[in-house]
Amino acid sequence: MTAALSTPAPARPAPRQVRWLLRLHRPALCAWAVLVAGLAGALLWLWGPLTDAAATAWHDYDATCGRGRPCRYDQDAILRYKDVYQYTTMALLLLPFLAAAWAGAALTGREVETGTARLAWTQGVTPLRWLAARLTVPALLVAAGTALLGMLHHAAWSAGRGRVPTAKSWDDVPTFYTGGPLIAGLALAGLLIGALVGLLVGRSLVALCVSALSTAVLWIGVHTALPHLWPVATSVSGRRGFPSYSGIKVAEGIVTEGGAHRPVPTCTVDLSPQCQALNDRRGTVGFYIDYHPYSHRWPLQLASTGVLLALAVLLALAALRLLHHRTTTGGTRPGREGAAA
Amino acid sequence: MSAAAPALHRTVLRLHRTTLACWTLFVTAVLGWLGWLGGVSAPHIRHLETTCDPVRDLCNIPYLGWVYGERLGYVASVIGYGFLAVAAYAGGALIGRELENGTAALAWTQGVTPTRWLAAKLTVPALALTAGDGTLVAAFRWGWTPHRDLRLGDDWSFGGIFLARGPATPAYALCALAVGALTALLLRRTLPALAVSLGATGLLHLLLAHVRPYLWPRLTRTEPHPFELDNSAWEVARGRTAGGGHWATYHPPSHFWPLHLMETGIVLAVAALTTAAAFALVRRRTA
Amino acid sequence: MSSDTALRADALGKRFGLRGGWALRDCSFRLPAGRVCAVVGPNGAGKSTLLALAAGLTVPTEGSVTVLGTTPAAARPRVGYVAQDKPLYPQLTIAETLRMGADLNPGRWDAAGAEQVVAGGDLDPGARVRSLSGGQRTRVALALALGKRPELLLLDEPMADLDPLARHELMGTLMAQAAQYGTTIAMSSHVVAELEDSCDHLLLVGGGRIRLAGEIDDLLAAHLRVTGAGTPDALDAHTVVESRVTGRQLTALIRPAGALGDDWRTATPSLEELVLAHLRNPAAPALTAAGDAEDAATARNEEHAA
Repeated sequence: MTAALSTPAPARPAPRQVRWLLRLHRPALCAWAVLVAGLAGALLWLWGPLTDAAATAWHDYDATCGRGRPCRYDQDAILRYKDVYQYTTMALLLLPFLAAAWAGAALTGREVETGTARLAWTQGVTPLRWLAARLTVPALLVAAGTALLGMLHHAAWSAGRGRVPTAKSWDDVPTFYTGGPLIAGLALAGLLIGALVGLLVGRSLVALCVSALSTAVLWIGVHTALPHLWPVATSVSGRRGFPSYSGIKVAEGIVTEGGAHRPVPTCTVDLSPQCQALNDRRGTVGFYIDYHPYSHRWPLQLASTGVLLALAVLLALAALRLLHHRTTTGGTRPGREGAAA
Repeated sequence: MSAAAPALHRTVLRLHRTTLACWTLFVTAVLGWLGWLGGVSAPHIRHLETTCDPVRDLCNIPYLGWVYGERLGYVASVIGYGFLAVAAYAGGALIGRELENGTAALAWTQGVTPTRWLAAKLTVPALALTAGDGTLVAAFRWGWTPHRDLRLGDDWSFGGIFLARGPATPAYALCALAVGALTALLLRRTLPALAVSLGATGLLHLLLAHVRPYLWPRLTRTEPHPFELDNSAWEVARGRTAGGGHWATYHPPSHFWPLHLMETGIVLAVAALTTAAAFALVRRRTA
Repeated sequence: MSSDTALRADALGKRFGLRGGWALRDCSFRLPAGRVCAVVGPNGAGKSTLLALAAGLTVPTEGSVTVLGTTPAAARPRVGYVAQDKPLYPQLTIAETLRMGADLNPGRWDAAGAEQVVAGGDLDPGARVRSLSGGQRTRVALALALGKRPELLLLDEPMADLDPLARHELMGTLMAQAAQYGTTIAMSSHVVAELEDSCDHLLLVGGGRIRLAGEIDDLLAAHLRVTGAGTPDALDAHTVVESRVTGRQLTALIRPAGALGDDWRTATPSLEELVLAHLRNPAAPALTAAGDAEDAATARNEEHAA
């Protein structure tokens, strides 16, 4: 790849294509800036005033309503907190799809469709440099924007934790995905999926649909793999009790006489005589639950983000390879005639 | 002229047959999902209810009912919010692309007047959407109405369920089609039209969802002591009276149809205005 | 071979998709540097594919193409290319488009030359590309290609959208460029007459194969239009491209292999006649730049032997 990147341009200054990339996608850049600024503003509002107001309202509620005194609390503050939290969370969840759809349609798909990609390639920019700029600049902007929003979302959520009783728990699926770098990893992977699909399909609208759908598939994959990306905590109990846990349950089952943990689908507690009999038959001495407690939140976030970043790098390499193969490989292999003969 | 209309409609169908196939596939898939939930899932829980001892057999009927209700809620969202995809499609592929590529002008010079072209472009998808959404709404009503007692997690006032139970679903789809056509005619570019159409339709829906409880007079209940409304009521607001009593405004389930039809009416009015604007624009541009 | 050869193809072939048909097959030719070459052929003959291969925009399925003595990818900075549908960024203005050309080709951009091409069309530099007519777009696309001052200029149907006046003027600009900087130009067209006056080299593509390649004068000199009384087998000693019998009169286009009898009236064919005769008769043997193709074949064999 490096050999191909170093074109034999003898000591010429590098083409200034980033400036033109930004100029060509100025509307998208402005929209992204407005979106990030708006969401950041909403999250800051949620973090400070809204959380405080909701916490005060809940405090008033607890102080007055339960004790037969006249119930005086600011119900609107609680509802506003809930609404703004819900809307910002939903908006953040949409960002990876937005990045994928934009990249597939506008970043690569349309340029291949209308032939402007070829125009650029014959204007002093090699195809690989052209693509590298189209991957790097949006990737930086998308990663920076979503990472900022993810961290703000986490800060806003943390501020309400323990103060607002209706605040979502950490293992609530939308809350987990939006609060931290994971959303940036997803948006970045979505962007690169879009860029690759746009190159492959070469039709803007088809690429838009395929990119968004592929991102959904990726998300399902991440969701499935997520619990296995960090060692689980295990809670064990004897036959008389049941294991206590909090957070994300990964697996449950029985502890055999040898101390081994065996996952089983039914009777993971001795609730009924039938279960008791079954557990006697299979030599159960206790029960266990594998789970991720709150302390695994950051390890899980970082591990899954790491996996997504690696995937993003692979997608970028695949896109570069594809383009190299399409435009350059044949020409750099003069030994082809020999192979044909 | 009268002989040209079916041929023109046939052409539109042929141009967008992939979309039509996708739409048919989507409707079929949702119907299958609903059929499974209503025909297999719910009867299965009913069967467990009569045969299964919660303690002896460890069957968690409320949990199963909750899962069943949640899945029905997903179906409702897919049906009720499908109009967003229609907005993107109408702005992007249906009209925007034709104007950007110049194939619209090609049609206009192939013996089809611009207004007839737009009419055909809107009629064929409108028919397909009305038929598909009509089927989906009927199927959803069939799946949602029985077994209310099994489902603990859903309510008639929830956004997706509220939309998916009546003509608001096709009305929103038609409105999205009209908004997409108008934005595409204004912008004449595929991707911007797609984005703007999607955004405008989404905003319209957000706005209507916000004012939804105020589209029909609410009932008010006042009591001297704190009270709970019936589970089926949609509580809108609650407070204290000057005299120290408690009040709440709400919609009983019987308000579903007035509320739903009011919203449908507004959406159809917007659709009609947008369509008229689109036709006026085409006529003014090409006259 | 590099210095005097601008473009050279050896057994070049391109197929689209795994089961798609061959757009181009078994093409071997050599275009000397400094020539203005007409790439002629009917619609769908493979002209655009050939030019895209030369510009390094797509990869051959078999064989190879050598551009300015190196691979197409390596030669790309020295090659100008204008695609058939003249793609440009619609949201940029003309002035911005030219500034982009300057930014993408630092160190070799000829701003004055590019602006001169645009100015010839009396275009407002502030106008958006989106608002331009087809011919005006062609002008901007040509300005962009000429601005990088290429050694080889590949133009795909460059004149199709232009009115006769603009066509004449832009052709003049191109010829001046070719003369001043020794630029090699290869331009495709399906209208032979359009290129006859300006080009000195011909590449006739038909059915994905090279039918004629060489200097136009040489090609014309190698053919004769003969008329006389007789049967087609009377010309068996020569290569007959096309023959037609009207009554007792035989008219044929031949490549004479020796002296003709006195009973034949002969004339030099026009370029258009030559091209049409070859296109009407796909079975007629190809003639690719007497000597060059053989040289290339010999060179290849020697390579393999070595």
